[in-house]
Amino acid sequence: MAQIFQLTEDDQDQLRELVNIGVSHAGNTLSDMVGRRILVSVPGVTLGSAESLPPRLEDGSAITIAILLKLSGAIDGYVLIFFPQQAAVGLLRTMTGKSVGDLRALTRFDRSIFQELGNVITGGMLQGLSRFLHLNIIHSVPDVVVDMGGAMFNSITASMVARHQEFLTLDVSVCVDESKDSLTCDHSLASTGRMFLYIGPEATERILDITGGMVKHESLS
Amino acid sequence: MNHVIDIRMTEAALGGGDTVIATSGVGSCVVVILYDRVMKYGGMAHALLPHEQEPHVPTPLLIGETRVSKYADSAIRLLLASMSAQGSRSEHLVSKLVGGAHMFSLLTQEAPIGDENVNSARHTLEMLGIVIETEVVGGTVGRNVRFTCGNGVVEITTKV
Repeated sequence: MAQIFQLTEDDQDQLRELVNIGVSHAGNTLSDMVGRRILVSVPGVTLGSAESLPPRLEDGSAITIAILLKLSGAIDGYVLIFFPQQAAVGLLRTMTGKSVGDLRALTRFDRSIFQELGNVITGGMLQGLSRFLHLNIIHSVPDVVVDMGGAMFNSITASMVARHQEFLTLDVSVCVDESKDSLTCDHSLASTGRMFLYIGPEATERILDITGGMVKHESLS
Repeated sequence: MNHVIDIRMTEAALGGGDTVIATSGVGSCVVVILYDRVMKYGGMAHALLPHEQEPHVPTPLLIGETRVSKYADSAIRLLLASMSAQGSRSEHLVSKLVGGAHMFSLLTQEAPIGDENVNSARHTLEMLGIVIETEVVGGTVGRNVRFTCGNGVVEITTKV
């Protein structure tokens, strides 16, 4: 199959940097919210299609909490945020003081905390992107699900493959409770969540047109 | 101890004897199992999408072989072609379907891919004259599946 996406190294750098701007904004908002340092980074840009699927989660059978939001407006797509059990339990304790041993025992109130977390992370990211790109992007009410990470990841992948021949996945690492001096994520399960931004070809093209224009303008002036 | 073949999403495998074919993280995907009640062996596929756009004639799988097969309709044809090549007769085959969950209400509103996967599998099996013996489909939870090829037993586990 011919590739629809023809992303150069420069395109990938632009996308990674763009999402970095957004998620660092989200990280600051989240840090203020939970009173701890939150470090976010964008380790990967992956092209997904029915022929080559994006990478899978390390332990797909583990119980995980996932927060799904639909993006609409100038860019359509999805944001999927995963926190493994240990990280999610730690976050809940930090935000509410409540200790829960197992994510399956979450109450409706506990789930609403994660909905709010999804709102803050995604809203922060979109605010950063919207300001930079001068585009209006909005997100839906978050859908919070506790189940096996692999089953949830596979479901969103299937949905994206069904809608777009090819799509882009930006993998964002969200490290919680990093030490004050740390500049990088340690990627331990205890502290790390992952966020995936799924966008189709049209949205990617629109973003690259804008960022490409900015780069040209910079180099001319 | 059983020999276990782990298949991932988009893969299919054929096994016999004490072989167990296992797959995890089944959400909106559909898992199709074909079992030969006479020859006592079978195959399993973990399909991602309902239909292949340009179907092709499949090269049969060998016992113990795993291969990529992403679509429910073509995965069933692959398993049937593989079992026919081993000497199975379609009237001796039974099928079992697992999966097609709606894990996120946000996704279900726009594209009920779980339903489409299950319907594609049902339709293809009906066209090929293979009886569906059991279905554990739909719902909102993810599933892990283990199929013991020698006796046709299918174990399904959920975590919530």
